[in-house]
Amino acid sequence: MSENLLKNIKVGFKGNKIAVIGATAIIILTLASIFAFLYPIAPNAISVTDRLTAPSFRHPFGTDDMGRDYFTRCLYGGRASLLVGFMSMILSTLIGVVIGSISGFIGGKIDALLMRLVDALMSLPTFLIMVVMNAYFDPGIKNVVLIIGFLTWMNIARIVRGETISLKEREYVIYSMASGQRKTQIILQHIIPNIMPTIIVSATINIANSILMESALSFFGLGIVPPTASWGSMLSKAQGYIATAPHLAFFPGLLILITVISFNYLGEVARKIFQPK
Amino acid sequence: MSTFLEINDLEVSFYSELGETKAVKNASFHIEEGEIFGIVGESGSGKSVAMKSILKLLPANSKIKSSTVLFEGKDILKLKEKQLRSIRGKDISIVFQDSLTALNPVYTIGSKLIEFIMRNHKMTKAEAKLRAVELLSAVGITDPEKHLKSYPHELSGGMRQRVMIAMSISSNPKLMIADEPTTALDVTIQAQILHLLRSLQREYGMSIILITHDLGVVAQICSRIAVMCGGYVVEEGTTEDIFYHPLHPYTQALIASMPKPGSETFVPFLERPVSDEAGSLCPFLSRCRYANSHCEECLPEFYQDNAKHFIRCHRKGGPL
Amino acid sequence: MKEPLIEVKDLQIYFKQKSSRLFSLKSDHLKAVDNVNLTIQKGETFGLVGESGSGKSSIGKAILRYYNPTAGEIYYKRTEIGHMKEAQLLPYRKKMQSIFQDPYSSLDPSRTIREIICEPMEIHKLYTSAERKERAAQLIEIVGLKKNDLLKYPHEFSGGQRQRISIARALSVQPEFIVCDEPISSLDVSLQAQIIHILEDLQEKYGLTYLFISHQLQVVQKICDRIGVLYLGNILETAPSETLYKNPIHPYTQLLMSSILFPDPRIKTLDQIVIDSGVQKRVASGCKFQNRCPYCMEKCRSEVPALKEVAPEHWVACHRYTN
Repeated sequence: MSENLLKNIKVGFKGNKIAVIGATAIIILTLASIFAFLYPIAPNAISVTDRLTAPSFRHPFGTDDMGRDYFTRCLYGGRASLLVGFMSMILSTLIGVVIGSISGFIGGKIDALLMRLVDALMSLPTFLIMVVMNAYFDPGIKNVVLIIGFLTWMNIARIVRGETISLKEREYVIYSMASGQRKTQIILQHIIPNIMPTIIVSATINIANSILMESALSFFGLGIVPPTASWGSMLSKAQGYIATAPHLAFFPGLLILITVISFNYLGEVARKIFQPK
Repeated sequence: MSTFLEINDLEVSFYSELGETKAVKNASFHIEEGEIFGIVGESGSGKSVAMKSILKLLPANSKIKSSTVLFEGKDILKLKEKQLRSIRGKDISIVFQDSLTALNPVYTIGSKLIEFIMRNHKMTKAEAKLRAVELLSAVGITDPEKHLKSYPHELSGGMRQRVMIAMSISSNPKLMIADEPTTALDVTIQAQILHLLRSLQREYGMSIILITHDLGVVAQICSRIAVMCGGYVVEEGTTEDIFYHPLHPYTQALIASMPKPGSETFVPFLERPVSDEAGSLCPFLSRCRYANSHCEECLPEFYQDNAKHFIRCHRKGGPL
Repeated sequence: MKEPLIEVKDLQIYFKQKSSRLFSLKSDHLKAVDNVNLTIQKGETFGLVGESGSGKSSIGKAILRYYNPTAGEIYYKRTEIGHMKEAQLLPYRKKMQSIFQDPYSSLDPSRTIREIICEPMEIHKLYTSAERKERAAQLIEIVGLKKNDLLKYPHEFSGGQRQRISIARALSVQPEFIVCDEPISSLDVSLQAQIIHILEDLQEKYGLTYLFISHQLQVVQKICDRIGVLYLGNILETAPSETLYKNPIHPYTQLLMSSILFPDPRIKTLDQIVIDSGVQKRVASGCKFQNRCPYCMEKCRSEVPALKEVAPEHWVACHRYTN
């Protein structure tokens, strides 16, 4: 399985230069965010004299309206965005896989009930719900992750349910059931490992969506609040300075764009690697 | 009897990201007019690919290398697509194994059948409809008028196969290629479809190439058989020769492994390796109990045992 | 001294189907198995033959309690297991194992061969972990593969090898009874003999009892002691293997036998086949074969014929033989 996987990874990336660039971009961004503390300038160091300067040698991305180095703020902002994206993905994938696999495997009334729940939740205007929930809960990364996580699991649940239903009829599952294996064990040992490819693909795309959502939330002043940097809130701030200091909007915007597109491409490559049909 | 289909040195490869896969390494067939010719072999032997290739029905990532396919004297591999289309479905028709996927589910079988008929003959729709009913009766479908309005999924497997056969004989083809036509069918239906094929062959005088892995099928209706293994034809002869005087070790093992009423034991057979190791040597090398150093050096040529019996083996039927 | 291992009495397996009528609250039932009675003796190989829709696979799955009987009883050595609760059923599941048809879906592609073979032992909590691994090594060699195959994955093996792994898996818990559901139908002709060989060998060595489900008549004749012929959920005839082939009594069995294509060009059977409509139609009452039977009488349309013993061990369900 592992040698086959390596071969497939090579094949998946082979014809797809953009995917390679995308994967590299994500790796660079992630590493940069993690090692942001190495950069000499602090993200919250205010300097009244250096406000709104254009990109220069000392400040590669310029400075913002409070004289803070924009490059550092982008790095730390990346931390918040990537962290939220990653953690929400984990939460929504967990919920989605559990509900989807149970629903698909057990079938019958439970399946019908859970899927109606999914339908109901999917028909709600997600973003508005998030806004409302944000009003109730304290701002901060933890709550943002929870909110996004609890509102984006439905798609994964549906996909997992579909795959579970088709896997249920495979003879190795029939064998296990006829041998007396418990249902939970069957789902854990036989169903989930075999739908990992699908889960990975969905999860990768999910990160992209979560990052976008987080950016949107913080753009509207919800979610992550200053002084903690977040690409969304930085964009929001930048609105007022579009004419005078366009670099304030340009850099976080570009970073969001690169990250989201890269994850989407990564999802495509993941599909090629894990589902080589 | 003239050789009316001559396939010489057919070589077909598939290309993918993982490299080249040689599905047919070298195969030649000579089909006579009016005979039922069987091609047998395991899955992966190349029999299906070989036949689809002569009508250029393979996917885009395939390539037919250096071969001539003479149909009534003309090399059909060199024909342009437009000319090939006039032969395909008309002079040479093909019946596939899985009738459910071969028939378009959104059209009634009647509409498709009429379309086929009108493509090959100048007729009005009403005349074509009559002919369609005639054809459905000829293939043994009861209530043919009623069934014109049926969709493929409404019919049983056996009936769909009959419809496929009706479509393929609608143009009075000179040659019908049937690729595992009965494999997916129930036992009782299988026998009846074969019976149908044979009577149609007698009535219309067409030749049939029957591709199958089932020796029972070829024993009952084929007059000559080619045995394929690993992309090569390893033996070719009359049905009697193949069953009673097989000379290639692969054929011998195949015949011996059949459950025959009256005989006591099965003779076990060695397993085909998962990957293609033989390359350009004898495809049976890894499993043959007579293999020796000569076999490891080069691919055997054909030798002839009698007028119609050819075997690709260094052993030449006797000990080396 | 004959000892029945499995007894099936008046078994019914009905599947709910959505009604094809638009405004119907009732759901139609697909009668996959409709009143089947059979007995399998210890140590024998009982064959169940039939075409698609006959219900043969469903009977096997019901005995294994993968399906629950809609009605009727299933006995394992005279203990009723058809309605047993899961907890009590577990020890019986250990005695009954199965081998299925499709080598490409009968092994979990994400697990190693060792994990696959050890699974039933884990389910039944047999042996220690180390003992299980040792047992897996023994079993893999019994079926003719090598010890270092244990760490490989199913996709590295051919169809025939995978079926052998399925057999090793089934043997791991020392069962008494194995349901073989079309174990060789998906294999190349040349490999079928090999698997049959292994199965026969193992039966002798371990005293196993087999239920052999297949549509391949020639194969069934060779390895089964007794055979039951199924059509649309009913057993129409049961007889010892040789008798069934030499003297088939039921019109359907005769139709089946005449459809066998002998792999022998000197025995031309195609001319003697019975031509019939070939359409399987489920009927509301009476004998399931009524629409294709050349001898169909009035009675056949209203009353289901019961299985009657017309000769020693030879049972037929046909009104022509009801006294």
